[in-house]
Amino acid sequence: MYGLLALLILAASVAHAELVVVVPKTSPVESLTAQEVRNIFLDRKRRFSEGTPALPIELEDADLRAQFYDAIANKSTAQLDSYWATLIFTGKGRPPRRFEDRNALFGALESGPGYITYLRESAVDTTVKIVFRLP
Amino acid sequence: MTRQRVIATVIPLVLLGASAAWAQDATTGDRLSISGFYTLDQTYVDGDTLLIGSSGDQRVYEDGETSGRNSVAGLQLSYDLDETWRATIQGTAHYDREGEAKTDLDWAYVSASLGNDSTLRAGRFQIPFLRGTELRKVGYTRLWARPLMPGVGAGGFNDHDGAEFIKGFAAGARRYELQLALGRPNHRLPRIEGKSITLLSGAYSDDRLWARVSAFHAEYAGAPPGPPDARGDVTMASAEATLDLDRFIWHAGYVDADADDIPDDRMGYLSVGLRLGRFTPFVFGAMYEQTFENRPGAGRVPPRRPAPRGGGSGGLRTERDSVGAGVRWDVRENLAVKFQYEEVSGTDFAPRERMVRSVDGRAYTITVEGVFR
Repeated sequence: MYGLLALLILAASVAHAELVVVVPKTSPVESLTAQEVRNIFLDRKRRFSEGTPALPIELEDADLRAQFYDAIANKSTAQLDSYWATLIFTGKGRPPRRFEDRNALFGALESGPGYITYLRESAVDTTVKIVFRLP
Repeated sequence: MTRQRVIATVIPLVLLGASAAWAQDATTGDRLSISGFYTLDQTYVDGDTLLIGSSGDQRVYEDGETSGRNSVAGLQLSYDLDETWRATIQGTAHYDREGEAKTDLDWAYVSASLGNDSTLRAGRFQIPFLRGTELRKVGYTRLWARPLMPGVGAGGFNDHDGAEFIKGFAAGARRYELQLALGRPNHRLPRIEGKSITLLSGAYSDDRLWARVSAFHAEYAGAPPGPPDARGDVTMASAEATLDLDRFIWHAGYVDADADDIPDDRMGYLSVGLRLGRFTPFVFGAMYEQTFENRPGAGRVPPRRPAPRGGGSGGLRTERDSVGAGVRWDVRENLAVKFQYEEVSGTDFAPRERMVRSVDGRAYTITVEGVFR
């Protein structure tokens, strides 16, 4: 029984450990805190601490999104949708731009140092650098 | 099904379909963002019942009436002119008190991101007084099937033409926001001409709490029964909060106003919901009161009947209380279905608190609400 519980806890932590936040290799940003990641992806902060505009983008992947926002903001998909609708229709914010596939996402990442996204670690390549790992 | 009910259901669906199809074509541009929202509503009432509508209008539903007239469809187009400037328009199609289809241009502005979490924008805005006034047409953003506060905006002023400055401060998990609005307000009654508005709003948010306090002062002319050039003013203050504690979500708000010639408003609400996966059952209570005061020395008499926005009739003080319960079901991303039961009582009082009219009713509502972007 305890073995099964330990296995479940381990599996849950491994699932979160797969997610990383990345920026282009050209970005001056080297690392971010959990709070900075949260503020950037919830459009509560629009610049990195050294002044570069932060442009969050994400994949059109519902499972990945749900896992990421649950981890950084403790928000369910429904809560997040309601949050974005509130910001969009009062003109006070916009959600990260979404891309259909990995190639389009990496194309955007290469186009400017301000872009930032989150990925499963297995999707990371040499054109980006990891600035935050989800605990 | 009557012709009016067919129209009330079909028009939002057509608008929604057209805007969604347009969105499919138009979102290919990097600079253009298209977003929309909709509410499809069916409400049945038992007893004459004064109900608040998503579109801002409220009316008495007659005993036994089933209506879809609370349905709304809205569309927002936002275009990035460059890295700093953005132009946005947002409009809605809905039904007025008489059941006629109507369109509104709710928001139309250009905004500049000044850096350092500061935004300056100019154009037309909904008055940022309560979320229920700013977002009353976007049903998906709220827990309940209908707004809890009457759609009379702030003293009857729903939007204003002018400028807004918004300044945010982020400190760890905490965020503070100040909003200053200046301009000319638009009253929902055409005979009242807004002259000026000054609004200051401060908001706080963290992982669990969102709270906002606002205060505004507006001047206007033409309020009945005075002559068209008579001027008056209204001062209002509001406080509103949402607390997310464990699986419970609490909402509370309060508004108080002091006005010349148009009624003084006093409104409040309290609600609690419990998140159970995709289902959020909730209960709520809300009240509002409008008082038509006779100002000594003003040389005017109080109106024999309250203005239509009061919803009641024949009294110098109008009260409306409602309690209800329901459930919000988040079916999938950006789509929710709500079921709601509500008991509403309204009373009109003449001078010396003499009750002149009382109505009580029950409303059963189902809504399908969503957004797209």
